[in-house]
Amino acid sequence: MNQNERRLLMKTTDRKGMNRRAFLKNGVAGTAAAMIATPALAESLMQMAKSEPPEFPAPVYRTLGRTGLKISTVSFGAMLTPEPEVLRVAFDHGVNYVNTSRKYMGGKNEITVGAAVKGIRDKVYIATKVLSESRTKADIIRDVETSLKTLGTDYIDVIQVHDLTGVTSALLAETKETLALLKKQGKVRFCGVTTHLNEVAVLNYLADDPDQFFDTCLVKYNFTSDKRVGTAISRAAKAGIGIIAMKTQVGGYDIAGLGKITQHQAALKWVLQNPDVTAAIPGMKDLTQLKEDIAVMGMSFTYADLRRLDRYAEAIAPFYCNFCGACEVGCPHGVEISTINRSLMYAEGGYRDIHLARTTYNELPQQTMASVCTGCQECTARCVNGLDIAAKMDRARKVLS
Amino acid sequence: MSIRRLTAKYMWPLLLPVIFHVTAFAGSWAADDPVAFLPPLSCSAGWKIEGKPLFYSRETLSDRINGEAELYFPYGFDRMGAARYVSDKNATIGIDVEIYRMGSLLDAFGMYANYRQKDGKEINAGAESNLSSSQLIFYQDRYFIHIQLTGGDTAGAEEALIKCGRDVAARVPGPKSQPPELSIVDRSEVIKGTERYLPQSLLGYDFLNKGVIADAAIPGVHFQMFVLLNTTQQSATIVFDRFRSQVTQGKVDVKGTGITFLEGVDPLYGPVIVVKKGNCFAGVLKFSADKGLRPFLESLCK
Repeated sequence: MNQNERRLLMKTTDRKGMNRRAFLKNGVAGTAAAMIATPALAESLMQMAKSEPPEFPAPVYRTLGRTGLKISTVSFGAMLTPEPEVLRVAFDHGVNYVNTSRKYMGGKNEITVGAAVKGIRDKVYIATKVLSESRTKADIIRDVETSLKTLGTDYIDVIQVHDLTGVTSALLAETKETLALLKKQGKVRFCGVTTHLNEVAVLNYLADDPDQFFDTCLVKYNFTSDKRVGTAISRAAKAGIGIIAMKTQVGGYDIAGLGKITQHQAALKWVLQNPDVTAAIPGMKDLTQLKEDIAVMGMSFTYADLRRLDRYAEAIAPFYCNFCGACEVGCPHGVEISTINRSLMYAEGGYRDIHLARTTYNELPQQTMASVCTGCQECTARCVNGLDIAAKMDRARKVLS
Repeated sequence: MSIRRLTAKYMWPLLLPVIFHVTAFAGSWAADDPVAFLPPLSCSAGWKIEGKPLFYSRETLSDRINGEAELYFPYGFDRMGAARYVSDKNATIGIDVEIYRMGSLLDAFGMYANYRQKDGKEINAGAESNLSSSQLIFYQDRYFIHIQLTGGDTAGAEEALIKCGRDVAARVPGPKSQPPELSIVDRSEVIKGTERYLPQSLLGYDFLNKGVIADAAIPGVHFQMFVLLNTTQQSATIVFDRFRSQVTQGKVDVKGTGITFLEGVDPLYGPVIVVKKGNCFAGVLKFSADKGLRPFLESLCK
């Protein structure tokens, strides 16, 4: 255990709510785990020490920035949920914030959300988004009016400008003016933005906005995020912006042979351990995912979680390429390494789709395929992530040719 | 020096120019690539292509449609081609054409059904089409096509959408037929246009995968029906038992004809009736009365 991990363990276990028995169990298990060299065994001990959590634990709420809304730390990203009944179970168990969009399924996702909040509208906060391309007054008003109709409500709690990548006040002038009008009319209560790209710039814009116009930011944030995103989140939160995290579980990179690793919960906990994040909105398709995710509320991020995420990262590292292309500059034969690695990921990563892998690979010009790689080792020295490029090209020749 | 090294040193310098000339003129896109089906110059008269067509893979789809991309993955999405066509009269108004290559014809139908609007119009493009205020969707073979009017309404926009859709449909290969798997719900009781295919988590349960759900009616009773596809006798039994374990007040009724009914109260949907016969697993829910539902299920699993 290095110093950071030890500090994290101390921080995460030093939380209120741990009773004497739990303290002793964790203490004994933690000590034993620390004494045992095998990480897997140590983790098993930690797992054994955990008591069985209730199926639906008591919800935990945080304040969404200057909106003052108290929302559940695990809230609902409704995009993937086909049936309103699944949403309803979440609402019945204290989840009180749901995120949808005018765009999802051509507006049909809003219909699903509308059906789920019928009769309990005052207990659930609804966040939706205008269409990405809507920036004019007419477009925004049309989107909001349509959302109100499809959601079956007369107000939207948080209306979000979708997918900001770079912002200037001039660009947003008409948008702000229109949203202010809608607020005045009582059709929307608060305004926010969403950002998937260039998050730091967007968060900093919100923090520095002298008008303090936007109240929330829905931002891509997970354990792989650049530290600068965390810093920008902190800055925006201190300026009163309510931070909601999305893409918290990184994606469904399913690693065969990893055993019982629930990296989803660990990843969610990692995000929520940041006090500047009000909530996460994982997408939940079914009851199993719902139970797994909302069980996280009130849990601490532990050393076992850190190990889990470490193992997850380790597991994907041998074949996980960021496709940055930096190594290609150094390849004397012009091999398209990142595309070949992507093809290999299709074949051997979570996708396990050999057809897709070969299709992608075969789209490459022949003079850039793995067969051209002579194993001269130059690329290995230039991979910023330390991947053994030559070995991967050799593997690609065998798997994809 | 090894043969490999010799090859590297002497053969590739000779072979590379040959390979380059063969591949450089072989055309930019594979024959089944969605980009190849985008109209190259204009989509409907007066709507010219703006810039170059774009393509997206699983890794990059979210760059275009953000989190919505996750909706496409369970349906076997592997590639999308997109282009924007702008009006001659007003360049701020555009038609965005997106052609998604899905895993199969059934997957393409599944995506189509996710987007299909209740009050949309059929315009005779692809296997099935749906035109709403500013959007046209259809599917053909394993391709799901989404065409969106952006930048505001304009006179003749609907006509342009229809023409553009038909232009695209004419370029997409494959038969204009529905997935054969849907024949099981091609029945008078099933309300047309309500069928949906879900590859995962049917009804919000992770153990119900690859199934069709639809609204249905028999005299005096409206209900929702579902049926799993591609089940074996063994998997149907497993699913039946799993379903049985979650309902309350469950009553199992085994008939001599090899058919087993389960009636009970589902935690999400209230009263349900499910049936297992051989490799068939189906059910009904959200019904006001149960009269006639058992014969319906029995005929579904015939």
